[in-house]
Amino acid sequence: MASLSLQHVYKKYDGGVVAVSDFNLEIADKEFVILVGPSGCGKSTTLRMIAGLEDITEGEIYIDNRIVNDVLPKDRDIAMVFQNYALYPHMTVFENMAFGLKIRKTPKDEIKRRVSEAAKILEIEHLLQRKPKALSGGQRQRVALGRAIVRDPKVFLMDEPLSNLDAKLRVQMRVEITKLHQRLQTTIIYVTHDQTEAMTMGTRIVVMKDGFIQQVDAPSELYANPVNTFVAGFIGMPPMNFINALVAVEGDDVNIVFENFTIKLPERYAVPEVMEQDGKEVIFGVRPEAITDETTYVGQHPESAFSADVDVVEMLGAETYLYVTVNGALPLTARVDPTTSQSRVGEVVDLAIDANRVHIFDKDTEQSIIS
Amino acid sequence: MQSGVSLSESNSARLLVFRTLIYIVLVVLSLLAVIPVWLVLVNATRSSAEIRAGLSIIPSKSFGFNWRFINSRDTSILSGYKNSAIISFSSTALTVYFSMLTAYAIEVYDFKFKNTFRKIIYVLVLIPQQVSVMGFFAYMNKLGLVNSFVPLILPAVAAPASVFFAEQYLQTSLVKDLILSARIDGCGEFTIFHRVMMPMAKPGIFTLSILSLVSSWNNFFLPSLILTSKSKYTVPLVVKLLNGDAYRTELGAVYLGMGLSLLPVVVIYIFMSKQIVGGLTLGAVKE
Ligand SMILES: Nc1ncnc2c1ncn2[C@@H]1O[C@H](COP(=O)(O)OP(=O)(O)OP(=O)(O)O)[C@@H](O)[C@H]1O
Ligand SMILES: [Mg+2]
Repeated sequence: MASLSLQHVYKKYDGGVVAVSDFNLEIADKEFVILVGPSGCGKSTTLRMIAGLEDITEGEIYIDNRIVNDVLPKDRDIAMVFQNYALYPHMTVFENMAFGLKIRKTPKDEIKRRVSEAAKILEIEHLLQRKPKALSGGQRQRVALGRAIVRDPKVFLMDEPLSNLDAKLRVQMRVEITKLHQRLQTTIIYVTHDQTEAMTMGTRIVVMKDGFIQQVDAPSELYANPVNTFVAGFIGMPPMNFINALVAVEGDDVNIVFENFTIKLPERYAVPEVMEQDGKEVIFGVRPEAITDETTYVGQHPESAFSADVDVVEMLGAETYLYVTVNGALPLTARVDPTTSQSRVGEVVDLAIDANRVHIFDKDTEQSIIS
Repeated sequence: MQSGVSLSESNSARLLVFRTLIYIVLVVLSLLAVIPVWLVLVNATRSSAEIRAGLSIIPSKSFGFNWRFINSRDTSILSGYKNSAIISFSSTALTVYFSMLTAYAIEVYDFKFKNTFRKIIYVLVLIPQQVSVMGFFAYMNKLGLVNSFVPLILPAVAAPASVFFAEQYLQTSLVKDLILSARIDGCGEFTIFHRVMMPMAKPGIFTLSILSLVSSWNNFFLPSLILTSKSKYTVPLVVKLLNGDAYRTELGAVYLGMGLSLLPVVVIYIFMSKQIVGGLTLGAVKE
């Protein structure tokens, strides 16, 4: 149970790869922080530096206000769950879980008590005498978690712990880890490249790219107000639509001019940041669910309506994705309600953008101008 | 074969041909390996005259005579066993432990000139013992270690070929995350080596042990230079004694000696090969 602080942390590998650049993050006690980003963006490296498995090239890391740059992993009071579980193959489940305590000379009955307690929480009591090779993927995952739990560490570090599980098990373990966090009331730093995991598990998400932090925010905030096109495109499935467009200000009205049609934005977008873009090209972002084919809505919002050819209809049950092309040139994705949607492949449909939920990004810096 | 039911006729026919071929190849290979050993064992039961008369694959009746002949000599094969066992077991233990230690260090740690070290070791593998043996002998002479087991045991700590083997093995089987995990669990580096790496590398260790044991057991050249008193002779040297009789060589007895020197190797191999089961690291990581 601890707070954590990373200040201007850099990692440069021999050979010049800069895996992490100027990483700044304050993590409060009991937070569940997710590091998310595409492959190679430096998530594991960051986690390993916190664990002490990797030297820090520059900067400081504090655990509970103690600088730990030169503290060995074993003395940092952290536990780590690896992507490949890293269970000792020659030890039983019990021995695997007990190993860290044994090395630390914990009394025998204390070890026994803690292991059986953790085994109970994770429902692996019946597996304690088995070797890892006799376990299923999900069971191994639980043992790996159990090994971390028995140590009762200040901070849990998890590096893509669910990525080797099948989709169904992944959902189940996702919920269990979230429950575990609530139950143990401990600080967790969790690495994933799965944005669903990020959105559903974390209290805060750190989005990384090429070793740089892009944005740190609560999941809902990250989704509603992404700071740049990268975050906007990374979070959300299917991803946000990006369209090159022109800002045209007419009096107090802000219009977004696309190649083939124009939409008018609501009043709240008439702020100086947007106004000064008048005549400039911007990147316009709209999430699939902010585009609808509902007839009444389209009828009531002629200022943001347009028509498009339906290329593909993906019905997922609870929702339907429409892949459409506007005037034969502009591809868009829309997420619509399957109970009301009339759209069929090959037809031309009328769509409307919910203009209250659009994003405008600078064309050059790709930074958000307004959300 | 239960699943054969679902196979089409031509498929199962092809399978049959394929299997037959495989068995033929395997039988031929086994015969090639077994025949020489069998001939040694057969000759151990034949008299010198019979052996001179030609090959036979059927045992004869002179085993008792050969056995008595061997035991009538002043240097008993039993003392050879004892000396060989002392030398080969201790040198194997040293070789295996220190080769694994060296290979582990090269595999897991980054240090200056690591690749230079590695290359030097690889080059040493290629240099035959005979090249350096005269210098080695002179050196041992100077240290007063001639006719001692020490020069036959101690150099085992530096066995380049074993390091090479151990490194190849660790390269493919060592899961680095297990080391990291052990570090977080609180292990020091030697504890990791002893309690995590060594138990996990068991299959490799057994293979390495067998290779080292067999080569040390069969080593003739170096012991023949170093050991001067017959009471310290190893099995191959004792067998050679049987051969060196000036007036007549009892060939049957020589073959029996050879058979006896072979025996422990065969026994140990059969015993230990059960341990060389791969897949000990199965289940450590999901891949
Ligand atoms: N030991 C190393 N030596 C040199 N470069 C390395 C080393 N380890 C990682 N890197 C590089 O550092 C960068 C970040 O790697 P890291 O493992 O942190 O990525 P990641 O975000 O965890 O990716 P993934 O999602 O694929 O696990 C990558 O470009 C990688 O190639
Ligand atoms: Mg990673």
